[in-house]
Amino acid sequence: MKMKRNLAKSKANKHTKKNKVYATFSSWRYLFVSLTIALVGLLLISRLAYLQVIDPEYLTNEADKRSLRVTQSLAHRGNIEDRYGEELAISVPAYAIWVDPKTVKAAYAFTRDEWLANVQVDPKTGKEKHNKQYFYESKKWPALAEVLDIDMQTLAEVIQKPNSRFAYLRRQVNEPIVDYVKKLNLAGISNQRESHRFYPTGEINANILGLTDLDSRGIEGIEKTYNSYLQGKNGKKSVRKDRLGNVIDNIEVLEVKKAAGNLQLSIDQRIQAVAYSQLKRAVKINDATSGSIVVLDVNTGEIYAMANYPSFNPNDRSQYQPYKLRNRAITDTFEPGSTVKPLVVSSALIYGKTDVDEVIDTSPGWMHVGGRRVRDGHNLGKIDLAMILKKSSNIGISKLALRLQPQQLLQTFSDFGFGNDTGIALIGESMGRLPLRHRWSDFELATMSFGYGITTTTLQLAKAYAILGSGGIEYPTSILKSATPAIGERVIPRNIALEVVDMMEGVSQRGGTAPKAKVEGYRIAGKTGTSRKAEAGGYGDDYVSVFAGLAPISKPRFAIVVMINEPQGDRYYAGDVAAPVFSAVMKSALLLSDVRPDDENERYTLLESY
Amino acid sequence: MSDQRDHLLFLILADLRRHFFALLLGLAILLSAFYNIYITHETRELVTKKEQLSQQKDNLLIEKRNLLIEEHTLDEHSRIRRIARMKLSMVQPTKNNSVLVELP
Repeated sequence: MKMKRNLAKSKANKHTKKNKVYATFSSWRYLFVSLTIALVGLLLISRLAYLQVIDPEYLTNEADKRSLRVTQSLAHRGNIEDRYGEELAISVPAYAIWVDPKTVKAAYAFTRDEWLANVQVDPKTGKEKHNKQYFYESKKWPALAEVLDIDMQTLAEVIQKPNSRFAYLRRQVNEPIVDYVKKLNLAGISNQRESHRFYPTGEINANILGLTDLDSRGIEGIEKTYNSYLQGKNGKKSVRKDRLGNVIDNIEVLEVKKAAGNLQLSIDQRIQAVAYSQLKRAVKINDATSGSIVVLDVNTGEIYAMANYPSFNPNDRSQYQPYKLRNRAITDTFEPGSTVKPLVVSSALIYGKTDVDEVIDTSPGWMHVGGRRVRDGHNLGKIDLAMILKKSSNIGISKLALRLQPQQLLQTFSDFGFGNDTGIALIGESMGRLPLRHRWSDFELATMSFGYGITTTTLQLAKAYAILGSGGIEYPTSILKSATPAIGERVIPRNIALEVVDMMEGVSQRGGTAPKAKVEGYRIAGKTGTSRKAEAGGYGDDYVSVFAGLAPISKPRFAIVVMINEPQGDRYYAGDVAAPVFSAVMKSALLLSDVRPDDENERYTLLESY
Repeated sequence: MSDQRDHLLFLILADLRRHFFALLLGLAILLSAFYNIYITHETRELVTKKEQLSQQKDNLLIEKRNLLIEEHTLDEHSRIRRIARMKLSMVQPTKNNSVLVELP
């Protein structure tokens, strides 16, 4: 009613006082409205000022909590390659499945009592609702246990461990399994990216490459020696992410990612494969306990192949046994036996105690040195130096050695690298034993001249022969392919080294100790060595069969040493056991490296270019 | 009386003309503000795209590594030797059936 009246009144006013608009203006009302609006504005502005100026951190923090993330980028361990870039070790991503037991315990009950205790009754409907699922009733957990190959019992134990927040269930899992686990969608089960090391060549290179542990750290062999180079460094950066998890802003790099380097070895995988398979065959045929082979490039000191047996497949850790992992070519020492005879001849030539054409009388096939006997297989009569090596005459070589001072012979052995490291710089390298003392009996000197009383590794012996082959120049042996040519050091006069190489040709010829070492098309120099193994109280019935050799004689390229440890059976002589391995490997090495055949007696169809 | 008083619209327009420069500045501020928003959006989109691409690159690298493993498992030399000898009955050539070619 009142409104109506007012309306009528205002209508009337309009008619009567047309221009008087502000008739009902009330100043207190105006004041009130403007003050209120101003106050509201002021409040808003002060709140804004408070948030923006006085305490901006709070909201910034809240925003960062929701959008700022730290992402990690995984640096994979570097590859190991052979000299032609063929990968010998590759890292691929794998996953670790882990569990947060506390989260699982919050969602699952492990006993019936606990299960029943966590019943909630809905007040409206009166229905019972279980807050926790009964662990053993769920079908998902057995599925998880099965796919991860864990016992259900162990799984339950791991999860029930008190106060635990983290436990690995399985590591090095591949992608399909992770996808399956993700689909199971179990509370408290998560995955984490890691690296898995894979060795495509398997057991062939296992001894030299070594192994990594689960956290991608090298623990053996090359993997350990060059670990810091291969490892690289994971990168970390902080980023801003939007609602969908997309990165929208890169804030800062927290840790710079260092990409891992790839390591290139001097190994030629083709030769390595042949070397390993031939060695394995020889060890098995002769029922031996172990064996090693080394192929060295005479002119650079690079290792083209280095294989050992027994070996194991590094991709299957269940076969892992420490003794199979040992790189025997550099760790195990043995008495080199007759393979040192060429070195003794060199020594005698160096110190001027003989000359190349000298003929030595070895009859009657035995002699007394310091009250003990030195014997040959049979009476060889008057023979020259080349014949001493060809027939491996103990008497001939002892007579040469006895002309030398013990220190002179030891000096020559030392020049050839015995008793010293080879420069390969791998862990576990053994230096062998070169006894340094002042008093030597004649018998000790004589036995040293046919390889007893000193010990070497297979690699050291190969290096000694490489020095002969390079014309007396010592190159540090290396398992890494180097871009710059190696710098050698002369240790033996050139003419003496070459003469001794020529003398060794007879060994593989008719009437020599190792005709089986022959390589078709090439002239080879070599020397057999069959030595009894020393054991507590003297020398036993086990042997070490060694063959060391060089080819081609006209321009030596490779030095190969084959060592077969404890061959059983009737044929334990190096000429039967180790020489065939040498022959097969040398043939492959020479053919694969395009070395020109130098045997003039063997005819090839020759296409010459002019 | 209303005829004498200027029309409000004209008044506003006159004011705007008088402070034309300020108006221009105001417009410029507004424009730059919008442009800022637009550019930020663009940048974020590009960053997201870059991130996706580098993720894609990582995945491809991983695939490459896996393929490398497969390749090297298959082209392992002793395996090739075995297949050549057993399945294909191949032999290493002897001196009788090989020709020596010398390159200058």
